[in-house]
Amino acid sequence: MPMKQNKFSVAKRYAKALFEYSDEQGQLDAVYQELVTIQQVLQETPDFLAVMKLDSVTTAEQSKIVATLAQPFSATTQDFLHLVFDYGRTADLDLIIAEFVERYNATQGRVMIHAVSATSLSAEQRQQIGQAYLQRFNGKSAQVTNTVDPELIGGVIVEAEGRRIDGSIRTKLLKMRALLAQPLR
Amino acid sequence: MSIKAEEISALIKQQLANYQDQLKVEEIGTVTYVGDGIARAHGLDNAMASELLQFSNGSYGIAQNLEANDVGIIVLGKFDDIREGDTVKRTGRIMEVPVGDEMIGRVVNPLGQPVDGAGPIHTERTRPIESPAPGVMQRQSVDQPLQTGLKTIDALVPIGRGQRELIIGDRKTGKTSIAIDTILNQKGQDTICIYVAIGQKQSTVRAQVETLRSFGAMDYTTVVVAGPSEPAPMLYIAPYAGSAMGEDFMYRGKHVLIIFDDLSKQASAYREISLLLRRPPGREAYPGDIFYLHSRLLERAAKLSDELGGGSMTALPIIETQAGDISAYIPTNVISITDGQIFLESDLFYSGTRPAMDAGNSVSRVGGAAQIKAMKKVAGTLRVDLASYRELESFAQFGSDLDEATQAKLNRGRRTVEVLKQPLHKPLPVEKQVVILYALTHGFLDSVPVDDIQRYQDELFANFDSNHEDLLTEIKTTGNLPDEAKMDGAIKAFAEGFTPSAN
Ligand SMILES: Nc1ncnc2c1ncn2[C@@H]1O[C@H](COP(=O)(O)OP(=O)(O)OP(=O)(O)O)[C@@H](O)[C@H]1O
Ligand SMILES: [Mg+2]
Repeated sequence: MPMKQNKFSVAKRYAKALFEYSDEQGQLDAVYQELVTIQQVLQETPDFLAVMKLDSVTTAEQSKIVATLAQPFSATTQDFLHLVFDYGRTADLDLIIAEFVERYNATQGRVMIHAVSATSLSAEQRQQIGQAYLQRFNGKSAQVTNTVDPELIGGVIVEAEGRRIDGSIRTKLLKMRALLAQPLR
Repeated sequence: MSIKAEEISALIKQQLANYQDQLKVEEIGTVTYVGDGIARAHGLDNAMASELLQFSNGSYGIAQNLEANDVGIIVLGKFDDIREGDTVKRTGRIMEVPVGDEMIGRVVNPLGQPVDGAGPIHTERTRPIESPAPGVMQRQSVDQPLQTGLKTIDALVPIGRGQRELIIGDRKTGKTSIAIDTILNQKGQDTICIYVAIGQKQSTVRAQVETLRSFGAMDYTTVVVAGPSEPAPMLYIAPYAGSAMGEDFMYRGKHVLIIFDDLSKQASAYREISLLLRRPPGREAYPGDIFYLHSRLLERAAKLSDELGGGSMTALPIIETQAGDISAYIPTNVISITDGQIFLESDLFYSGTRPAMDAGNSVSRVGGAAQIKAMKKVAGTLRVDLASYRELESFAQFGSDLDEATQAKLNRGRRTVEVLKQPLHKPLPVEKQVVILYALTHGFLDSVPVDDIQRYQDELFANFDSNHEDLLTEIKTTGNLPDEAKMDGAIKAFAEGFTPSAN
C-alpha cells in the first residue's frame, strides 16, 4: 500500500488550482460565494462527507449525491466538484473549501479570527479583539467568531492565520503549577 | 440567482437517508496489511489512541497511529491467522490486565496470563495498562527508606519509597543482580515486588525466578515476562502492564517495588514497531515520542498522600549502555526523568569490585531524606573518602615517598572499597550495615589486612548477633546510632579476639 499523501497538503493543492483557475476566468468572487454556500451545506449535513468515505457505498451512488450538490451552481464550480469526485477526494471537500476561503480572505486583507473564551463575547468585545489583532499584525478587516469553553476559567484564546495567542487563565494556572512542581535545588 | 444552502441540504438529506445503517458501522475497520506484529486497518474513524481493538479471529490489538480512515495497530499475541480483508472492531476500552493479590507468586506474560504452568489465575479485577500518573496534590514527598540491603547503595545512594532510581551500565556489569538482591531484601518488609523481564533469554529469566523462589521471595513477587522471541508489541507493553499490577497495590495503601529489566530493550521494540507503522524516525532512529514513552511510564511511580492511603511504588528501571556511554539518546532521556542513577562500571566489575557501582557518577536526588539517622552518621564521609582515594590512587602508583597522611588516606580508601563489596544474594539489614560502616569510619579496620576484611565483617556480625543484640535492636527500632562508648567497647572486645590470617 503506497504511503498516503497528507490530506492537508492535498487540500491545499486543490484549493490553489481552483483559486487560480477561477481568478483567470474572472469568476473569483462568484466561486467564493458558491463555496461558502457549499460549506454551509456540509455543516448542515455532516453525513455527506461520511458517506463519501464509506467503502460500502458504490461510486455510482456517491456520484448521484454529488450531482445533487453540484446542480444549482455555476459551470466552474460544477466542474470542480466533479473533478474532485473523480479523483476520490470528495471526503476532504471541507478541507479544500477551507483552504480556498483562507486564500481568498488573505488576498482581500480579511482576517478570520476565532476566539475561545470562558463566557460568550459581546459584539463589541469581538470587534475590539479584531481591531487589536489588525493593529498588531497585518490586514484590512477582521471577522471574529466565538466559541465558549468554561474550562478556560477566564481570559481568551485567539486563533488566526495559524497563530495562537493564549491568554487564558487556565494556561496561566497550569504554568504556575508546573513551576511549583519543579524540584528545589 | 441566489442559492439557498438549506434547499440543497434538504435534497441531499433525502438521498443520504438510505445510508444511515451503513454510517453506523464506522466502528468497524477492514485489515489492509498485516505482518511482524503490526496491522493496518481502513475505517475505525472513532477509535481512540491506545484503544483495544478486536480482530475477527479473536485476537486483540492496540490502536496506535490514528489517521483519517487509517489506523496502525499493534497486534497482541498471534497475528499469523489475521488476513487482509478481515474485520477489526472497536471495544471502547483501553487494554486491561488482571490485578490483585492472586497475581502474587506468579509468572505471567504482559497480558497477565500465567506462563508458569501453575494453572489459571482467578482474579476478580482488572486495570488499564495506561493510566494517568498521580498529580502533585495526590503525592507526598519521599521520606521512607527502601533498603536494598546492598551497603554501597544504602550508604551512598539511598533510595526512598516512591522514588525512581535508574540502574545503568554496560552488559554484564551486575545490573540484574542488584535488582534481584533488592527484591530478596524486601522479605518481611510488607512490600510487593513486580519484576518485569523484557527481551531476556528464557533461561536467564528461569534462573532468576528460581533464585527468587529458593529465597522465598516469590511469596511477595510477580514476574512479568516478555521474551525476545515474542512480537515487539509484547515487549513494548510489558512495563505498562507491570505498572498496572503494581498500581493496584499502591492505590490500596501498600508499598510496591517495580523493576523494568530493561528499558533499552523496550525502546528497541518500540523503535521496531514505529518503523513498521512508518512513523518518521528521529535521533538514533528512535521515533520522536520515545521520551514520552518513558516519562509517562516512570511518572506512575509515586508516594501517595495519606488521604489516598499512603501507598507507594518505587521504580528501578534498568538501562544497558554501550561502552559506558551514558550520553547516548536513551540513557540521557531516562537519566533526566529519574531521581538519580546507580552507574555500574565494567572496569570495576572485572577488577572484582562488586557491586561495581561508580560512586562518583552515582546519585540519589531524593533518597537522602529517607535514610535513617544512624546510617547518615556513619556514611557521611564515605563519598568524599572514596573520591579522594580514587584521586590519590592514580598517582600513588608513581611515587614511593608518600607522607603519612596520604598513606593513611590510601589505607582507609582501600578498606572502604573492600567493605562496600558484597557477594550475590547476601543482602544485609540496615543495622548490620551501620555496624560495619561504623567500624570502618572509626578506624577499627585500618590495621586489619585488606584480605581479611570480609572475614572480619562476617565474624563481627556473628559476634554482635550473639553478644550485642541490644545494639542491633536499638539501631533497627529507633534508627539512631547507639551510645558511641558502647559501640566502641563492643567492637574493641571483638577485635582483640580477631586473628588475622597468616602471611
Ligand atoms: N555482587 C556480585 N558478586 C559476585 N558476582 C556477581 C555480583 N553481581 C553480579 N555478579 C555476577 O556477574 C554476572 C553478571 O551479572 P548480571 O546478570 O546481574 O549483570 P547484567 O548487567 O544484568 O547482565 P546483562 O547485560 O546480561 O543483563 C552474573 O554471573 C552474576 O552472578
Ligand atoms: Mg541483566
